[in-house]
Amino acid sequence: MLQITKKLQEGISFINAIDINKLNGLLGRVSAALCSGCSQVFTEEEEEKLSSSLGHTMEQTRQLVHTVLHIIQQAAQGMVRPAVLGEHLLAAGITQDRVEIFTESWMTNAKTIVDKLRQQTLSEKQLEDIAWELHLETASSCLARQSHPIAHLQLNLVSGTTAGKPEATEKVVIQFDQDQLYQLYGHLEQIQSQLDALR
Amino acid sequence: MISCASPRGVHENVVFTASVPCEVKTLIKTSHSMDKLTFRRMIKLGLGFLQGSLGQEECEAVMKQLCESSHTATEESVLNTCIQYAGVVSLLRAALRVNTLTARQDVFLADLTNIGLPEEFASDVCKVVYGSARLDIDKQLISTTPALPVMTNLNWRVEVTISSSWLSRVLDPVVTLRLETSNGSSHTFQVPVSRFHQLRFTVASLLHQMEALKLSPICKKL
Repeated sequence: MLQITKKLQEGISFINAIDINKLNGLLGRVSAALCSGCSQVFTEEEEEKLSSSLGHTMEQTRQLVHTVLHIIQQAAQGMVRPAVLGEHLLAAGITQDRVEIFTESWMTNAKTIVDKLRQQTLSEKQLEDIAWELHLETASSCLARQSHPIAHLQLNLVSGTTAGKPEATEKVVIQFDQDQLYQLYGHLEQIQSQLDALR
Repeated sequence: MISCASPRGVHENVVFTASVPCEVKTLIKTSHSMDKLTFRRMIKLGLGFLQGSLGQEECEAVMKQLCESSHTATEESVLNTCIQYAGVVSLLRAALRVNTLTARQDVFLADLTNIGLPEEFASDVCKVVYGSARLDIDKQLISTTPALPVMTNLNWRVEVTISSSWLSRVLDPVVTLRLETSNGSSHTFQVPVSRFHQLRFTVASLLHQMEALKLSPICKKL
């Protein structure tokens, strides 16, 4: 699961050196960031504070955070169980008590993290939300006194999510009368039957 | 509607509620010298123009034929024909706006003859307004009213992602839709399964509400 590189070894030595309570807090923070989908765990200021409290340089703090992040991401990638994760970490050289902290945190957060990662796609426009209005056309310059129901559908399209923030939102408004709405419904039913066939 | 008293008794202005446009007045003045066939051809051309079924060039070609068919094409006679045609289009436009459910045919006919249109021409216009082709004419008129872009084409694709750089086993279906609208733009986007269900539910509930709206008292009144 983990490829032992030189950088990783350095990171592991930091993990072994750090205080256990601080490691707990760090792990909680990293897991929360992954659960909400952003890859930036700490801001600049927070990194400075962390460095000073640990007695490390900025470089070393960043490496520490990156190593913890990497371990969790690899665990998600392989979708390993907590016990298996524990074994891998022991083999990599982390001490027993710290390994326990990792496995506990993974046990609580695994599902949320995996679900979040499942939704990530290579940036393409995604349908985020749908809004609608139902109107009744009663008169126009061409025809006085008519009753013609019309639906307005607004599709909110979000394109590209980098670092958890959407890049651009586009709102597409389309008008349908009854026949056109039936046509759309027909299309959607076809798609649904395909989705059902997959199960 | 404005009612006015005249020697023939009180009548309602059904077609032109405010005032009669000048081109229609000119049409009425010259209608006595106009031949019936020409009037009918003008009505046909006017209908084609209003419904949008005849293109610009086709309209011009038919107009040219009309101008040349009546004796010698002097500048004055061509101008007259054009003004008469303008009158016919305005008359048709106003006549087609009239709601056939509330205005009776005889009242309509009486109003036209009161403005001064000869009997035969008035009955021709009546035939167009109350005739069997009315439903088709209405459909075409409704389609030319101001509207937001309409969906012209929908292409779709269902995909299952097997694995990604974030997760080695994804196995989640995703729907990709390409929507083309009447103003020429094309939108391609992915719809996650939960949003797809929301879209389907929205469309179904809108259809249900439209049906209920059609049966409701508001629609019955109109």
